[in-house]
Amino acid sequence: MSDPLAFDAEFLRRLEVLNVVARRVLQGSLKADRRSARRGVSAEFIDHRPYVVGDDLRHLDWHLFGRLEELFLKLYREEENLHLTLLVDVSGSMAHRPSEGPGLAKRTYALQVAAALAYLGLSNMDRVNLVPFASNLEDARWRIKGRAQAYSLFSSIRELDQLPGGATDLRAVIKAFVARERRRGVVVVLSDFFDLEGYGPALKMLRMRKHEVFAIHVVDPSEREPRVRGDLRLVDSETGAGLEVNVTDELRGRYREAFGELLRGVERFCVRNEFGYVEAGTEVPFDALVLTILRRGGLVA
Amino acid sequence: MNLAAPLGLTALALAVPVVALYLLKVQRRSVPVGYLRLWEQLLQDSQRRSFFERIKRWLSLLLQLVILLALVFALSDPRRKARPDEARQVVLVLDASASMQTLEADGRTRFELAIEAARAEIQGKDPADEYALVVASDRVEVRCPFERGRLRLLAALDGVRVTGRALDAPRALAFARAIARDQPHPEVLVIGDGAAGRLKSEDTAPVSSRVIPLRLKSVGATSENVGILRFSARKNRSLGTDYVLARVKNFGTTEREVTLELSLDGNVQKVLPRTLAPGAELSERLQLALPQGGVLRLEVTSEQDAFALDDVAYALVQPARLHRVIVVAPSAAALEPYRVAFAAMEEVIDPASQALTLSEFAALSPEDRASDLLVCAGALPPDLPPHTALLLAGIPLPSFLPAQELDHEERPTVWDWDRTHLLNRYLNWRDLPLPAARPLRLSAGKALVQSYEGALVAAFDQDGRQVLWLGFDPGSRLFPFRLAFPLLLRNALSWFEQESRLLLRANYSPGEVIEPLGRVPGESVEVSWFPAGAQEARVESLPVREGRFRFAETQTPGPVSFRISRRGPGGVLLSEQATTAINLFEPDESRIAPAPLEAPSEAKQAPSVSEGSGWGSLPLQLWPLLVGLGVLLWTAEWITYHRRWTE
Repeated sequence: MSDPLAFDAEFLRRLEVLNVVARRVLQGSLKADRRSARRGVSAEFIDHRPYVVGDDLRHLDWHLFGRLEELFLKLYREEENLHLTLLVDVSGSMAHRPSEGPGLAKRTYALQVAAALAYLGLSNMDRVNLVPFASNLEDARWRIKGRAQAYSLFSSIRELDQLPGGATDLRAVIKAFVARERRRGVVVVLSDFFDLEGYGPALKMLRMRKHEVFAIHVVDPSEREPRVRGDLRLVDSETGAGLEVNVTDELRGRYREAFGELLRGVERFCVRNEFGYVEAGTEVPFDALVLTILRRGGLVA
Repeated sequence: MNLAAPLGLTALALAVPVVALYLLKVQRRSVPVGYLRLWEQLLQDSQRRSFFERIKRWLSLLLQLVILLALVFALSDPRRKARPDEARQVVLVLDASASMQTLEADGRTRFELAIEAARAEIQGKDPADEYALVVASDRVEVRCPFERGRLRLLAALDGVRVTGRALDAPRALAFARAIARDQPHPEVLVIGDGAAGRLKSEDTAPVSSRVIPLRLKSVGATSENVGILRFSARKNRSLGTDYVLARVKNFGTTEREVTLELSLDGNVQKVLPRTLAPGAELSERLQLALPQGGVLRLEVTSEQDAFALDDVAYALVQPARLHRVIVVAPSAAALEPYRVAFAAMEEVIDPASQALTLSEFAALSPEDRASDLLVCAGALPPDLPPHTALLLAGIPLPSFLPAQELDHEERPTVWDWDRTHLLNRYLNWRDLPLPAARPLRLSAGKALVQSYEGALVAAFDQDGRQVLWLGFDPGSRLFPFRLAFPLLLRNALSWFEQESRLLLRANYSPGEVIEPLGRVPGESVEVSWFPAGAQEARVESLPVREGRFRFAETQTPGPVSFRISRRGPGGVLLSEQATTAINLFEPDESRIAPAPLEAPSEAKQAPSVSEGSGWGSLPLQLWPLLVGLGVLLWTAEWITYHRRWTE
């Protein structure tokens, strides 16, 4: 199996395809669907689209109304100086790799997705922060701008996959982040959210700082549907703590229910607090996931 | 209950590795999980602390140990005690034929393996069972009649020795069946290699309506052997050429390089390297100058030969003996054909032999009349020397012969003759135009040639004297008969010698007791032979009782010579050497490849068990039950293990 973080020609080709698709998707809807809190500078004209109630009347094309007697909105390439922050969980639980099958580790997958989102952001001249974390902020790359920085960023991302990991303390991480980054922007958190007590207050802390929050819940299929059975010693990937257990079919059923409840709990929290949320199984190709995210909206490149 | 193979209990030591392997097996496999707390929450009230969970692994180990115990117990062949009415009567037939001397890969002979198997069988028998021990080769010997006591049976087994003889399996089985037939629960157990005297289906088939169960235990696996099938020396004085004939066969399954070493009186004469394909037979005819009384030895050497008994063979050059013959006829003219015959038989006729008229014979002193054979042709001398063999030809029937003379036949026609008799060797009486003859009606003796009227040639043993009667004169005018007469005379001399002097066969099988073919005068016989492994001959004196002696030290091939008294011409006792050789010329024994002993289906059935209740309804042999129990428990353990099985 080739290195999933090699960022080779194939990876870049998929990113370019993603970039083109993302432009088409975003051109059609995102601009008006999401009102930026900050007024950006108007740019070149791109296209028209039919007016819908609520659109800014300043962008109506009155000339076209005079000829056709229908309201059309003029669309411009917005040159908004967006700050996109990618908070990537690189803790021990994310480094956990399924024991069977060719699947990726959650951390590797999250870094792939982060690389794709960063590339899209840099392609749109946004400022991108790549902030890995476990119990605290790791070696972050702040305010990267320009497509030319993409390859340097990829190199950093590759190194992140080699980090030893550790326990997750999302609250301390977010606290450190908001203290460091005072400009508002879009914050994408890629994590397995196994810090059950900490993720709620942490994400709320981001909202208090006017960030737009998007949670990508990375899930390994073997966590959702464990295949182990028998007398086992389960070892926590983060703490190393062990637990001897006889995994029966009945226990596995109960685990499936509990894990599903955990996923639904994170989702409910995000919906209730108007955070973007997507569950990302590592079996889904990263580009398909990114496209899903873009089509669903809520995350603007 | 008793154990037929108590040594099997030593396999209980396997419990140690079983426990060790189990402990290794229950070492839990470590599986990393992303979020252990979720599992911990689930286990708050789960089976982790349940009683079954705690004992389950020990229950599985316990099951494994019980399975091991059941299988080990089955290995030791436990048998419950039979009730008196269930006791078996087993005839244990032990193959002690020559092929049982074959060396197996572990260095032991097949006979040792068979003894071991028999010992295990006896030690494992039910106390109520009775066993009879029968040792079989070409003869059957009961070493122990039906006996319950193990010690007596084992003691009888200790005295059994392997022989060099062939196995007569049908005879052994028939004997075993005969002594088992009248027993309430008979059974025949054969322990052997089946390499010789192979049991055929008709041999193992029941001989009566009653089925006697037959069990067969086969021992041995080796099949490679090159053996001597025949070895003989022939000395021909008349032609001056001596020959040695040897036949060697490869009984194995692979091509063999063999060396034939021929020595005479300890001196190597020829060394012949040969290659023998599987199943190929080699026949070597060598011309060699042989001294009288010499001992020839042939040794075949080849690698990986498992059977040594047929690798060495001996042949003896019998010393030639000239016979003094006196022919008495009424006239000199009648003696002429006999003189011609003497000239043609110089290799067997002593130069001192004489052809005499009646008057010349009467003039001889009694010492000069002594001869090996007195031929009376056309006339019977009045004073016959005592103990001298007589050939009476063309004379009236003397009064001392127990027969009646019939009418004279001018042209006798032969209608039958004893073709197996030495006297008739090489003779076709039907083609011989006989002269006029006087046939006899015999009261005693044996008719050797018969016409339609009576016996034309007859043999008598009259008061220790051998008499051959010819009802016609062989010296008559008929030319063809003149040619045939030397042959007849030579045959007669051979027959007289065999009857009177040939005391030993040319060859005896290893283990066979040598006894004289005829009566031996004197009190003792001196025997000289080479015991197994000895370089020098051993000489002993054997007592002669009622004209017989027995020599049983014949386990290994080799020459044996006896110094025996002989009554010579005139009745005087002469000391003479008689030699023979011990050789294994038995192809069935040399073919050592074990043959599966196939028994008919009805004979393979285990002895029926009488109906009973409770413990008595169990079969005598408990190992099938124990194996079944082991399989059942193994299934249960597998299910337990399967529940523990990790993915």
